[in-house]
Amino acid sequence: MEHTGDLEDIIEIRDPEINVAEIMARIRENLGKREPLAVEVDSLVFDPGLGGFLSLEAGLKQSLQQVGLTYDKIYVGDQLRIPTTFKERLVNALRRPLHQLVRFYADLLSSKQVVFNSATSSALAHLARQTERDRKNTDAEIERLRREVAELRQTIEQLRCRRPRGHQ
Amino acid sequence: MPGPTPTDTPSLPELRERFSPRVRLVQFISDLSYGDASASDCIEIHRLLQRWGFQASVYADRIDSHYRKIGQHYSSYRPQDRDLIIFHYSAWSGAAQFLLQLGKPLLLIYHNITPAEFFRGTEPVVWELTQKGRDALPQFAPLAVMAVAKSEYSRNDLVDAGFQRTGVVPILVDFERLDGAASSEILRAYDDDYTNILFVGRLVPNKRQEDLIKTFYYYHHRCNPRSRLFLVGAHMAVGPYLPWLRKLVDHFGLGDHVVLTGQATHQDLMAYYRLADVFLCMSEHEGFCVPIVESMYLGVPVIAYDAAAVPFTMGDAGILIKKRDYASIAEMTHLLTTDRKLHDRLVARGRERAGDFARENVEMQFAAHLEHALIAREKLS
Repeated sequence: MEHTGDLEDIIEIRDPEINVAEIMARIRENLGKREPLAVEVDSLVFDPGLGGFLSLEAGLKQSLQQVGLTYDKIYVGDQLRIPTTFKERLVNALRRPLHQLVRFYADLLSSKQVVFNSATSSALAHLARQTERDRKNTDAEIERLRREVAELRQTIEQLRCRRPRGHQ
Repeated sequence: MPGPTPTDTPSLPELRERFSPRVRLVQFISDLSYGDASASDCIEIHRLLQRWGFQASVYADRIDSHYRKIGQHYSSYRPQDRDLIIFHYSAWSGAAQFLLQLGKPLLLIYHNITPAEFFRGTEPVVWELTQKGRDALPQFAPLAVMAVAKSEYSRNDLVDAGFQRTGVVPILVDFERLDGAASSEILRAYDDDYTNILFVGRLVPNKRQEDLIKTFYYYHHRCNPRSRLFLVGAHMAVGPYLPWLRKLVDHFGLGDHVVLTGQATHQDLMAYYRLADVFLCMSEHEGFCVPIVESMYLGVPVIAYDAAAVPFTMGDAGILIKKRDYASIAEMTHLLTTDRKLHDRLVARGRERAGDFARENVEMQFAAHLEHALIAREKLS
């Protein structure tokens, strides 16, 4: 990792109370005395195809994303209609305790379901990653075998050429 | 046309007396999830409206377990003539579709939308929702009696999309909560003389956590081996970004020196802030960046990449990075953690800047825009 360019183009300090020139001079001095690093970093750029599921079928990939987004959002909200008339208010007053009771048990079940969903979502993600790795390994293996077959064919061809005339 | 300024602010009793008996304030949001900045803002506004004496409710597409007692699914909403809809917009959603079809006047709160290209090939659902979200923004312009953005940067998007009345109201940050307890377990676990570099944000490509790891690689190996990088934030259960970050950490041999915490509870988050010596942000897109304000309030100096709303939020109270030159950024970080005078100056300036986002200031700005929206809606009806 090499420092390139003017420091003033890289770092901006807007606070007028800070002595910017002095800060820049010290950074320059420090940069000058450091040993280069072993690993070059600038070429390491995030590419979704390398780390992830780019080769998975699009529908499956989308479903996995959807699972990740929604696995814990299954609780029941207040489904009672907002009353506008006296009659509706009265009906709501009678329905509300029952509604709350049902919500209590439904949400209790939901919280158990969320634990299960979370584990399932995580397991699916691991399986997808494993599948991706296996597929890449398989592709690499097929490629290796293809090369080996080509080499063998070439060797056979060479042997054929070297065969003494008249030999059957 | 720009919206009202804080000097136009009505007194709260005036606002309450004039409008509260006659209006119901109904907020809509796509995702009411714990830890999400838009959701936190929506909840803060909900509490504020209730405190001001308004009848208020919250509807959403998706509601996580943390907010299930506050939010209701948008399909259960029954409109009334006295409603003013407040819509938090940060991506396409069922709620957005519902409100467009409903066609009622609304106060749009724009949190900005992450450009879709950050999710191309990695998160197809998010890609679609952000792409569609940006495309649909102009469709809300005719419905909006007022549109407020979380930063000047985002307000420009609203103007470009054809909104007539626009303004800026920063996100309501709950500073009192930041004074609360921190997880003693985490404080104990990292109670050492290490220098801790912190970033808080979901693990997504636009936040560029890989650049933090690259910077830390230099910092750890060349400036200070007794150092640690905390990446605090939730990640998707699936998707290639997290495996890539882990590969990068292994590739650089950083091992346990990079801590990917996953989603943190509030107490955990407070502990990471307390442990932090510097907050480093390399994000490519932020609609506001609450963690910068939180860091400044909690006395953690900030270094941040100059992108989207970051320079608006940070002001001159931090160090701005213009180019991704990892060695220089690492050396700047090193200087900030070793030069007491520089450190103290940035901490003091950061605290002043955080004061600009104090609750009373933001509430007054919101009240001014709300009044404007209520008057405009009244004229329409």
